[in-house]
Amino acid sequence: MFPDGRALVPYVLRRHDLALIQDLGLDTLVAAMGGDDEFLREAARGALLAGDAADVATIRFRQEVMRDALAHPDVVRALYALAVEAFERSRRGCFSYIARSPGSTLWGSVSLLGELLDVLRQTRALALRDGGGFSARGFREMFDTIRDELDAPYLDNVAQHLRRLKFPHGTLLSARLGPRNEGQDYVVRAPTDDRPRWLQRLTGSAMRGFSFRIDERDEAGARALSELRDRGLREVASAVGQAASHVLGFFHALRRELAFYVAALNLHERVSTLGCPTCFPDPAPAADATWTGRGLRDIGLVLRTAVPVVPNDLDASGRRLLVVTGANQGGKSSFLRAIGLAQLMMQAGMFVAAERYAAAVRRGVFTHYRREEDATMTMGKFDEELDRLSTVVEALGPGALLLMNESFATTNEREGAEVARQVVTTLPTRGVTVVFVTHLAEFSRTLFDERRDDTLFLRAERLADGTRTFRVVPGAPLETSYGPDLYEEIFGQAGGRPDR
Amino acid sequence: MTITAPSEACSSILFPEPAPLPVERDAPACFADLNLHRIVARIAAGPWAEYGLPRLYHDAPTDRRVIDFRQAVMRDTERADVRHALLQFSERMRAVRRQLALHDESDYPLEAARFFLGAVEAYVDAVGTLHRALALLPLDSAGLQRWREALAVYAESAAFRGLAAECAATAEGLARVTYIILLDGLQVTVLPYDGLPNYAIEIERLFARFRGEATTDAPSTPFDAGRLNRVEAQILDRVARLAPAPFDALIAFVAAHPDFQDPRITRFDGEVPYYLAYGEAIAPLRQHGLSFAYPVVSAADKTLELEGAFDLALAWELRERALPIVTTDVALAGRERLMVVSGPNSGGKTTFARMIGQVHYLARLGFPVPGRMARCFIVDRILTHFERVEDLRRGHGKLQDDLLRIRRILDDATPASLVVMNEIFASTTVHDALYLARRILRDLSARDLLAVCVTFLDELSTFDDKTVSFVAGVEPTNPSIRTFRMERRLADGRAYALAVAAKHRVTREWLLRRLPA
Repeated sequence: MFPDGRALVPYVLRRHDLALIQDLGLDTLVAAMGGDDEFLREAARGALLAGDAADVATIRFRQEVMRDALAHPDVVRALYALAVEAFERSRRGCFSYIARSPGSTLWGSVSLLGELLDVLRQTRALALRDGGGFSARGFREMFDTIRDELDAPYLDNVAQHLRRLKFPHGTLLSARLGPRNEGQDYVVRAPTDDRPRWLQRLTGSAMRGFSFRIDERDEAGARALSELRDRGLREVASAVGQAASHVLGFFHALRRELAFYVAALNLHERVSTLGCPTCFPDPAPAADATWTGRGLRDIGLVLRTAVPVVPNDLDASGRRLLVVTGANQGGKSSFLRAIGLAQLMMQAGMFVAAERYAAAVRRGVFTHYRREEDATMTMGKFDEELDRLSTVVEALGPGALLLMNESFATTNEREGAEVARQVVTTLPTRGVTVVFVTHLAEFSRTLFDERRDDTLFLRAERLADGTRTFRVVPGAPLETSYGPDLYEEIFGQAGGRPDR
Repeated sequence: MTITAPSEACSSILFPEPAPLPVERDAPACFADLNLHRIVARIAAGPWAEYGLPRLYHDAPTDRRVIDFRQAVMRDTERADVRHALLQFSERMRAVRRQLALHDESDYPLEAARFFLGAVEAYVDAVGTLHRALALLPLDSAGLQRWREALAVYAESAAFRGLAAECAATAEGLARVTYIILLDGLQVTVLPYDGLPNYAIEIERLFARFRGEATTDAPSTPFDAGRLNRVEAQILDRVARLAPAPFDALIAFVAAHPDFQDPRITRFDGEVPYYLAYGEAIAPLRQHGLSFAYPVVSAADKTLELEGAFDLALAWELRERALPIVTTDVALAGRERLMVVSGPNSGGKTTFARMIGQVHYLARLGFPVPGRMARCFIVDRILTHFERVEDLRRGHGKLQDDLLRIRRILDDATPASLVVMNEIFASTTVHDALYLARRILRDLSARDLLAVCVTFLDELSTFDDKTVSFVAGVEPTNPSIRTFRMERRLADGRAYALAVAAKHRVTREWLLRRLPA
């Protein structure tokens, strides 16, 4: 995942991520990438959200790996499947008993190491057979690691060693019945090597005991016995358990490195079937003002709907503020998501849903959307909204991209406009690029009349006959919205009382 | 062992007449908007979680007689001594169920039998203790008086007293058993205890030197105290062969009492938490000085009067954070029906709207409602419209969604309904919002129903003669400080957006300061 070979660590969600996920509908994208595999979804989500730390070199490195993966999808999937199999075997086996007792730790570690050995041999075979066809640096290094660093004899050694570590010895315990008829107050009554003597004494007594034997294959029974028996095996058991964890850790790293590409392969397959074009975008350094796109689509919408999604073009090089106005349901939100998702996907090193896309690497993508009443009840809506905005501002810096959807609409229009104006005209002067979807008609009109160079006005297209094309095109804001149309549509001609 | 559940109607602590057992039902649609789901979740949580109380709270009566019946029972349960006795009873009956669950899950007859014995011990204790306690207490409600009589007949019956005596004798026999186990590889032998010496200490000393100094030990988990594993169960079988008498007595006891619980007891146990849980939930607020009052309810008069009312869900939250709780008075008289709420944001408008809805719902449940005094109409349903997170999966936009939802509300509303609308049409222009809101209000007013309408449109506060305007108060000396008190007066068109923006440090001046040049 990184050109400098640094380990990929699981992504830890940051404060503003939850809003970003919700606002851009990231879950739909992540679901298409990961399907039922939570691990793939996690990897996809992590890569998309961690993109703000990426630079052009990292993006290009991943694009190269991604191209290799698209050329050999079967090999990449097979390799990933092996890493997954190692996990599934560890779960199927008794390794999870590790936390229970020393005896079962030993038993589980030995059997797990046997299983892992098998998977490891297959992995090596695959690397030797198919590794030659890959040219990306990321893949070449991965195959080298598999061939050189993990040798089977090490594991054989450990397994052999473990087989010698079984001590069969008997223990004599006394007990009382507890309130649930369970044994309690166990006390060790005799060392095991003295067994013949104790037995002699006991069997010589007036009353004989009652015996039973645990079946060899009865894991639960053996485990239960171990709980009563083994106290001294703890240290050895933990050392062997750690060895097994290390091998499993190798597969974990392999899986984590591959997961993102496998997830991207899944997505590529899906969107190709849906007839949506994709391309590798052209990332530019953060200082660059490039920002253009052709045939840009909201990939979330592509995945959710059967009908073809209306593509949009973007020609915003050098612009710091984009104001998007126009009718309800005109495609504004979709346009905003298309921009946000394309940027996130580019910075993760993926292809994007467009015919062409070129943009500067942003120092983070942020969102500020209108929300339902806040969950803690103590703040009113506008207060809550500005509180969220303030949290976003905390994370903003030069190069950030802020997507705002109907912000400042939770107070009345006139006052909302004043706050909106202060925010969206100030942030660009500090290097933050803002895309603002708004219904604040007066506000957008006034701003438009000022003819600012860094500002681009876009509008949801509506044809002369009222038809919505769902395209967002350059255009001045209009004065009104289209509420009355909808009212007539829903409540009928009569208006007042709805007819049933 | 199952608890028999008669399907026919029988005596209930929730209804004056015999009633069928309550069934599962979903929350009314208004729950989430009014935060009633939080209120119910909070009441029905903790020890009450296992009773499925939400299904009882989701079914609020509209029958005046049922409401009166419940108010009377609730008053009785609020007496400290009655409450204490009922809480103890509930706790012991929960222990019965825990033991029976363990019994049902057990794969081993001797373990299962012991859990069963434990269940009967708890049951005998629960019934006997409640009977002795209630006999001495004054009760005013028809519901609890009726229950006390039924309980006395049962607790003093020969059947119940016999059960109690047998149960105690069986438990005593088992407590005296002791034995020895020999573990040899996979071979286990159970022997009679004969006083062998304790070698555990010696063995520990012997192996102490092998312990590493700096190794991290694997976590040692304690033996599972709850349930027998298979080996323990097999050991128990051998112990029973060594000392058969107490175990024979146990098995005989279980076989003799398969259905030891009386259905009248289990029904009461399932329903009385309806009252107890609410009482427990509001107790901390009362201790904090907040009042709750039994509302005077009417099925005919739409007059609404509240003194010192507050949003219950919010009150709990504020209390936990040690923040002050502001209360509000409301009085609607004559033809007044429409409460239009405006004023500064964060001023408590939404809270006010929720509070009105909550009071009407809690009153129907027969509970004391937040406030010093309350009088309200028994509404047949509460219909709400609160803004919702834009649902990405749906093809249509917010405004259309709003209108469709409002249309559904109007379709469902009757003249006896309460409609609560919070910030409708906030996503469109002032012009559109006014146009749409006026058409909706005209409809509401024509139906003569009770409604609360939170809006930023000051123009609505003088809509017609049924309209009453409430404005969220601010400090006269500093308009950016809200009092959270609702004042009945005309809207004056002053919101305080920039003051709020300054508070959150997102004005131009603040942004320039916060972001590096």
